[in-house]
Amino acid sequence: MTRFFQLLCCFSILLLGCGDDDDPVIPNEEEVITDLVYVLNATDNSGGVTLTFSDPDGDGAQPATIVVSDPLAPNKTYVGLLSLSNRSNPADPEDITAEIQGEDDEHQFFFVVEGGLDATVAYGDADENGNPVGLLTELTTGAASTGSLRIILRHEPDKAAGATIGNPAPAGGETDIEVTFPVSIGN
Amino acid sequence: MRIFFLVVGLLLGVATFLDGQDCASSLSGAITDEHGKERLAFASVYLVEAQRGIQADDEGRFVIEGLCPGPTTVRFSHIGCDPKELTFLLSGRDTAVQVYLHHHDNYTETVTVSSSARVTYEEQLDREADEQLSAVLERIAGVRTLRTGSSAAKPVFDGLYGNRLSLQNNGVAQSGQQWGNDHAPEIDPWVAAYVRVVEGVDALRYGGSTLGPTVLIEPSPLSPVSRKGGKVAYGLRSNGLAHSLNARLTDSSFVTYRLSGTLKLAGDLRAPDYYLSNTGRKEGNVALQLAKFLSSQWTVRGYYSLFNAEVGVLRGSHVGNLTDLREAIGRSRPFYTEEGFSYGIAAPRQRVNHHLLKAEVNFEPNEGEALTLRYGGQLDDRKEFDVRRGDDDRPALELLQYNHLLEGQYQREIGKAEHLDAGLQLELTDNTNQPGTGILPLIPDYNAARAGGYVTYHRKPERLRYHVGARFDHQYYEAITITREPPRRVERFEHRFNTLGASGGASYKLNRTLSVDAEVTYRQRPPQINELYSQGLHQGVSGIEEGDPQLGPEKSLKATGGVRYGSSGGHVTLTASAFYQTVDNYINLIPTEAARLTIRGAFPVFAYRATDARLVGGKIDLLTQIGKLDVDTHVAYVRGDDRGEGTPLVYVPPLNVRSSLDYLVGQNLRIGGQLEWVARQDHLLADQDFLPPPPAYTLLDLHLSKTWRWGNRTVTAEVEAENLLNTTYRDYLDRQRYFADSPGRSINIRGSYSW
Repeated sequence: MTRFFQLLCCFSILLLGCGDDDDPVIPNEEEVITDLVYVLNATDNSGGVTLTFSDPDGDGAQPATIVVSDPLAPNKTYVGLLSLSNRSNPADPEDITAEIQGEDDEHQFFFVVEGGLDATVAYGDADENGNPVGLLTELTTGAASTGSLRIILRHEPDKAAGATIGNPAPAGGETDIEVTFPVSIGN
Repeated sequence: MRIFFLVVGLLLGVATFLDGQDCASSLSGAITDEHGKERLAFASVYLVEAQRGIQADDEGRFVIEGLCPGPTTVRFSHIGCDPKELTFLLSGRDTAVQVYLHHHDNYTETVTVSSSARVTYEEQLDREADEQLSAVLERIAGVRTLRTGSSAAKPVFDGLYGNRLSLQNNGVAQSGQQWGNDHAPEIDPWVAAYVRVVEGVDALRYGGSTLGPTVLIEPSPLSPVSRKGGKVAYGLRSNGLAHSLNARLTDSSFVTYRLSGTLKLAGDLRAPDYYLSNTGRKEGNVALQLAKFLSSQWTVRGYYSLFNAEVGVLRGSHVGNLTDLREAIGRSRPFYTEEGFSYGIAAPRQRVNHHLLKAEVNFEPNEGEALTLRYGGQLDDRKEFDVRRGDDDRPALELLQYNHLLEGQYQREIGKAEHLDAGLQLELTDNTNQPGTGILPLIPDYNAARAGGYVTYHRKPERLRYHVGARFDHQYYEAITITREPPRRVERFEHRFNTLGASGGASYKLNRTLSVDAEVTYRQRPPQINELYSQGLHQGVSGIEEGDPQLGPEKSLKATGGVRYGSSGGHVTLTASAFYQTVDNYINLIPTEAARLTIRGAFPVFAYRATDARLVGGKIDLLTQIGKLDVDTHVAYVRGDDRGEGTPLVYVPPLNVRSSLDYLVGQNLRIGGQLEWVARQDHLLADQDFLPPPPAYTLLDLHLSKTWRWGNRTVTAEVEAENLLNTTYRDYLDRQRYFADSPGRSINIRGSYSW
């Protein structure tokens, strides 16, 4: 019996010695998108509006900041340009837009106008198969109104399934981005 | 029905020489279970020709005297074992036999009388080993399966699963799957010969995270009488065009060994109306079992197994945020459903390698005393691949877990009816997220150490049997987390928990056919690392999961009572039991009020919170043998409530009934069927789930098998139809039920050759 427990003790010391004390490697989250900027420039060069969504801690508990620089002007056409970036590491911000452009057949943005906003959005670009992407858009405002604009990015949607710019449901896929901006059209 | 004796009779003659023509021979022996561990007390021994019988003593020993020379047929039976006839050619000498009896499937008595141990057996397992382990476990009354489609399945017993139910693979707590219900246990069903569920006193000797119930999965043991032989088995399933091949060889030269290898290849399964795209599976496993019987005192055993699997996850079940989930739920067929069948496995998929190494030294200084020193080492390498914007071949999660268990066990028989079992255990775990995934890990790196000890005592006189036991564990964790807020940094946290377990039970034999039993168990369970430190988006569940480092141990009190009736001929066995369990500090993953807004949209936040729970349930198991017809029926019901909130618990199995029928035509042809009915889970509030629970369903299976025997050689062929009526259904405990129907009909063909 005694010998048995001596053996047991020896073994346990042996095992206890091999714990891992290294710090884990903090992963470089290169696929994360933290910031979305939608820049709208009036085609008559009368001014622009910038919509910004920023959430550097991703899934973490820090709330995101959503900024809409100005109201839109009524009855105007704007050219919209989307840009995406990863600012989870403040020291090394990374642009994601080009990556999406490179895989544009696997991605599609949707622009859902909601809550009484009098505006329409149309695609201004297409992938190699002639299907819309949405990095470049055209937004046309109507009368003065307020509401919201929801921007959605779907990964691997079924682009042939009959989805429209304002209704992504038939396309399926995974949502990489879904952000809503309070937008108003002023006088 | 399901086969009866594994090893039958080891004949040893020699005793006194007597005149051959006198009717003065004797037949004596001992009747034990197949492991040779449990003595089958009061088994019946019946002489067929002489039409007289005796009862074995409480040690399973018997002596019959005054036998005439010549062939003598003896029928051995014991409650819960299938009666079996053996013919001896008595030569006039005294004959001693050792009879190894096999418990009937699903019968509820093992090592101790009153603990509810539930068993299913080798032949059955062997026949169904081309299915998953879960399908075999479900044969045991009270066991259901929590699954994620065809990719992962975990047992649920009396409403407990996951961290509250531990799995012991070959005596070592299965590591690497303590978190996440979408991770299946890494065990090859071909290697498992016995599957049992124990709780109460018998479960105290096992470590692992549990509130009592423990599933034991064991290979067929090697013994000094292990027969040299082998087996090759092949199975083809029409649903998924799944091929499985297993070969195994048992032999003894310098050591006794059994080598087993398995290959599996399966493609997309099909629900009645569409293919379940990307649900294929590839598996390749090996296992080597070794035993060296050095002397009557010393035995050394070794075991190594390697499990490798690549498993596809239904593509249409992989969703992003809440909007995606709602869209996916409303569909008549899942997104990404392909028109054709394919063996291809694309993302989302999982790849797992699991090594288990076990070494054991057994020392029996004298009869009735045994010391065992056991080491179990495991290495679990799990990679999960998601559909991602970058390279799909780069894992989204890669975990490497080392686990070491060192155990010393002392067992002693005191006198005829007492048994003492005590042990010390030390367990170390090192869990490391492998770098290079580009994703913050959901579960942090951690080191864990556990030291524990237990004592159990059984007393088994004839009428009133009782047993008591206790265990104590000290659990240490060091969690190494990465903060979510930029700039990211590494933080270390330590936790220590002391947990207690105690159990006592008794059974009283009212007469030869009827006994009653009761057991009370108190168990504490320390929180696991996922409950303390989960942090982030759990892909495929569409939720952000957050642990709570302040959680304390769960405290469970369970009372079980039961009645057992076994007719004297062994033709009817009825077991009925009921339980009442309260769990204080029940750790539950519950949605918090506000959804969290991220750039990917809104996600529900699930937090691990402690509440108080209550589980109440019962089960009935009726086994009847009418001539060559076997009918086995079980019914199980559990009701779970959150006492704190006054709401039902989620993922509690609904009422279910399973009845199987088996008929032996002649000696070798077997026809059978099974009917399973699962009710709708009505004990749930509408706001507790995204979808209302699916309706009740009924499934019908049929099978036909034939066996040919030449001496030691056996060929078996079987045809089986699962879900014969191609019923469209969804199961409440299947997390994939939001997206797709369960698989439809499968016609399975199996053949095996053993020698």
